This record gives sequence, C-alpha cells and structure tokens, in this order.
Amino acid sequence: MSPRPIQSSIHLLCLVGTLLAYAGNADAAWHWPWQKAEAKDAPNLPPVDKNPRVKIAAIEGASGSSAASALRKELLTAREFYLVKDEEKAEYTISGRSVGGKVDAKLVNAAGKTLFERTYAAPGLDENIKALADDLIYTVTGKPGLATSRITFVSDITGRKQIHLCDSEGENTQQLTRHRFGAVSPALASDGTLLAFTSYRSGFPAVVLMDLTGGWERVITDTPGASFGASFSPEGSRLAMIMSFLGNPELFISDLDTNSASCLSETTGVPSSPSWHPDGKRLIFSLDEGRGPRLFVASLGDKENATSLFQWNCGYRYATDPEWSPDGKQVTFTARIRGNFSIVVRDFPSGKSRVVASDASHPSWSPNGRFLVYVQNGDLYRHDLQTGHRKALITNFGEISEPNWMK
Amino acid sequence: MNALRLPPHLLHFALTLCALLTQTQCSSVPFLSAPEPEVVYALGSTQGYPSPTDPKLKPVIPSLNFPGDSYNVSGRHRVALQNFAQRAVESKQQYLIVGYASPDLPKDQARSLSERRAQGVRQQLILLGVEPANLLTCGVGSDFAPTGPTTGVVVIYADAPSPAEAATAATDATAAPAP
Repeated sequence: MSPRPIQSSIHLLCLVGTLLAYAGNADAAWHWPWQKAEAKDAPNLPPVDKNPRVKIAAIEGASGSSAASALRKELLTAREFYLVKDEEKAEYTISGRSVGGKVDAKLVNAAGKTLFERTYAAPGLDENIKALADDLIYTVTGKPGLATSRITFVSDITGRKQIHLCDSEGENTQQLTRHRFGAVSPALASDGTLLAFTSYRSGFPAVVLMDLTGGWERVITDTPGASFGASFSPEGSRLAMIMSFLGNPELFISDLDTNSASCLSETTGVPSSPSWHPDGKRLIFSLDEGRGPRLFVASLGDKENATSLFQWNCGYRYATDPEWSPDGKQVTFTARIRGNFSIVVRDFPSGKSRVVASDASHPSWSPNGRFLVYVQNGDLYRHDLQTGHRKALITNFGEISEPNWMK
Repeated sequence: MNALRLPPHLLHFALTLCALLTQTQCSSVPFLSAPEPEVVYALGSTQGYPSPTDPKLKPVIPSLNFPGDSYNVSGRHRVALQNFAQRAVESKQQYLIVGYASPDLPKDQARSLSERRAQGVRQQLILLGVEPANLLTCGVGSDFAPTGPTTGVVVIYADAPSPAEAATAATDATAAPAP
C-alpha cells in the first residue's frame, strides 16, 4: 500500500501548525527564542568625511578662543559636519568675533558667497554658541539643530508629579511647574515658547497653557470632566486634546486665537494621545473600542471637521502614544508585544517596521528626526536611529514619564 | 534497528512542534496551552482609596473593579450601583466619581480609560434616577496611585460629614420620637 495519503495529511498538519504559529505571532516580527526582539540596528552613519566639510576659522576678540572651542564642541556633538583642519579645503567657513559672550558670526561657502552674517547677543556665551551652531546646521543641511532644542518630561522627584525641562543632552534640568496637585502630559510648541500641559490644580484635570518667556498661565479647558493629552499643531495656533465634557472622552481641536473648539470624533471608546502630521492637516491618535487601543488617522477638512477617519494598520493589536516623525514619513508608537511595552518605528502609510526598544514607552522624535527619547524603568533615554546607539539622558530623577521633544 | 528510525515526515512534524513550543508566543496557539484564569472581583474595598485632591471626600461604596483594559459596567457593578442609587436619589448630595487605571498602562491611555470608566458609572447612575447635576466625573489615570488592592477601579466619593454635623445628626436621631 502506498503511504501517500498519510504523508500528505502529516505535511498538511505541519503546514497548519506553522501557519497557526505565525498567526499567533501576528502582532510581532517572528524570531527564534534566543534572538532578541529588537530589530537590527540600521546601518551606521556614512563616514564623517562624507558630511559637509566645515572650517572654523579664527574667531577674534577677547572671548574668541572660548567661542571657537565651544562651537567646535557643539558641532562635534551634532555629527552633521566634517570639521576640517586649517590647511584643508572646506565647503563652508565660519568666522567671526566674540567679546564678552556676544558673538558676531559669518558663514561663507567655497565660492565666497556669504550665507549668513548674524549677531548673537544673549547674556551667556553658551547660549549664543548653541544658537549659532543650530543656525549653521540649518543653513547647510536644511535640518534643525538640537543644541537649542528642549525636552519636557514629568517627574515625581519632588513628591508630586511636576513638569521639568532639559536640553537635548539631558543637562540643564529645571522644574517648570509647582502645582498643588501636580501637572502632567506636557507638550512644547515648535518655537519652544509655549507649554501646554494637564494640571490638577483645581482638582480636575484641565489643560493649561504656559508662556515660558513671560511666565503667564492660562486655563484652556474650563469645562466639566477631564481634559488631557494636548498636542500643538505645527504652526502652534491649534491644540488637539481629549475632552470629556460631552460625556465620553472625545478628540477636540481648540483654536488658541479664537478660543473655540471642534469635536473630531464620535465614539463610545477610549481615544487618547493625538499627534499632528507636519502638514497640519492630519492627526494620528489611539482609540480603544473594546479590543485594545489601535491607531487611527483623521484628515481635517477646511473647517476642521474630520472629513475622513480610518484605522491605520500598524501591525500590532495594541498600539498607543503615536507620534509622527518631523518629515511625516514614519510614526513611532508604543506597542504591547508579548505582554511588554515596546517602542516601534514604522513607515507611514506602509513599509518597514522596527522595534527600537523593549520594556519602554512614551517615544518622542527629535526635531531632526534622527533620535527618539523614551522612558525605560523610570529613566529617560535617547536612541540614535542611524547608529542604534542609546544614551541614558537622565537617571535617578524620581520616576520619569511622558517625555516630549520640542519640534 | 530500522524499525526504531522515525520516518522523515514524522521527524519534520516533531521538529515543527518543538519549535512551536519553544517560542514565547506558543501560548497563542489554543491547543498548546490553557489560558490562565483571571479572577477580578466586581467590588473591592473602600480602604486605600483616599480622594487624591480633597481629604474631606470619602468613598461611599466599595470600589468598582474593572479588569484589564475593560470599561463596560458589568452586572455586578449594576447591583451595587442600584443600592447606592436609591440612597443618592434620597440624599440629593453631590458625588464625585473618580476613575483610576493601572500604572503599567501608558499615561494618556490610562487617563482616557479611567475617564471612560467613570463616565460609564455616571451614565448607569443617571439611568437609575440620580440627578445628573449631582454626579461629577474625574479620570485621573495613574497620576495618583491609590494604595488599595486594585488600581483599575472607579471610586464614588462624597463629602464626609464634619464632626459637628455628625454630632448634630446623632442628637437629632436621639431626640427623634420613637415610631
């Protein structure tokens, strides 16, 4: 007798078993048990000598040498340029003069054309050099620099959850809020002058706007129920947030100029964490309709009514805290994989997906799209998406949560 | 000896099964493992849930427990709320319904989930005849960590009578004529 029918059945069983395994694993990339969940790091940066070649020419004046060395340090940290020696040819040359912390700087290209000539007159040399470094990076690469960018986060180091601020290296930390019952969920406007956050000062969670230059505060949501999850639009005049004064929590857009708000969602579920696309015409947020939070995209019409709303297939059954990359081509979010929260970066609307970190949550992009900050075990980390290098920015500072990098 | 050797297709099947078992996700294959039972009681304690913002507010009924990410008011919740609603309709007192969520959840998700739970309880009480104006909600997510046994709860608070009020009430009760 031929064993063909039995063989076929067994092969079919094998196939079904394998398919079941893959189906069960649909919310995560498949891997062997001895392999780590993290995707392989992206290829390293191109060799630095392929980057634009910049020369720091002599900076004259009493504080010129300090300014030159501080600028060199900032540019080396940024890793955007190859800094040439004096005898080497450069594509761009920066020169200037510094007296008493004030800096006059001039950038010329290889053809001798002046690209910018500016005076930086903030009180400290450090501030001026950081501003100069960011201007230099933006002029040459078209991408924002990180020297003057800021990260806000929540920490309970003072006993209550309050909002703190640090620079892109995790230094110069300062406490921004001292609210009686705490303040959470911070979001910085793109120019870094306005901070929106949720305050429990009145006993109820309400969204408050704080001017970081003037120090004034203004309550945005003087409505019953809870308001939280504020996110600034790219131009800074609108806030997306969750409000529940109608009953269920819903996604709203508040116009800061006219003090009006419009409701974008109509759900019986749990919406949270709105984030704007850089074009200011789309929002991504998470919505739990009873099967775990999934990611949805709302396209805004002319009158800020959602003209379309669709579920984005991000490849995970539990995804929340989404944030669009500064170029709008990728989304990072927190996904639950095998019971643990992980940071995922995925191309939008479709394409590659990679797990950046496990046991971590609350990702936020850097303004140039190269780094992510996130929280792991209550500490703040920065992840370089080009090199895969990870740096602990702030540790042992109470329990840190909800970092938000200024865009 | 040949009789002991496994046929190649059986070996293939056995290896596939072994590979499945060694994966962490094998629990999602229904016939390979039984799901762990999760026991969450609908009602919890009144202890361990002080009001996060006002010490005068005290829980008026045991906490309403919500397992996992759920936000639907269950049958057992309804029974507890029915008893409470009768008292609330008579007392005409104002109540604060506060939702909490697990600190393990992402913070914004926890806030929205806890607010949704609190709103669910409020809707149920309105259906049971409680004046909507007397029911305020507040979803605090995991921003205030309760010390009670469960973190995914909704707690209904009301003003505790001051010692003077309590003494007056006791005096009134003593002075009242026996029925």
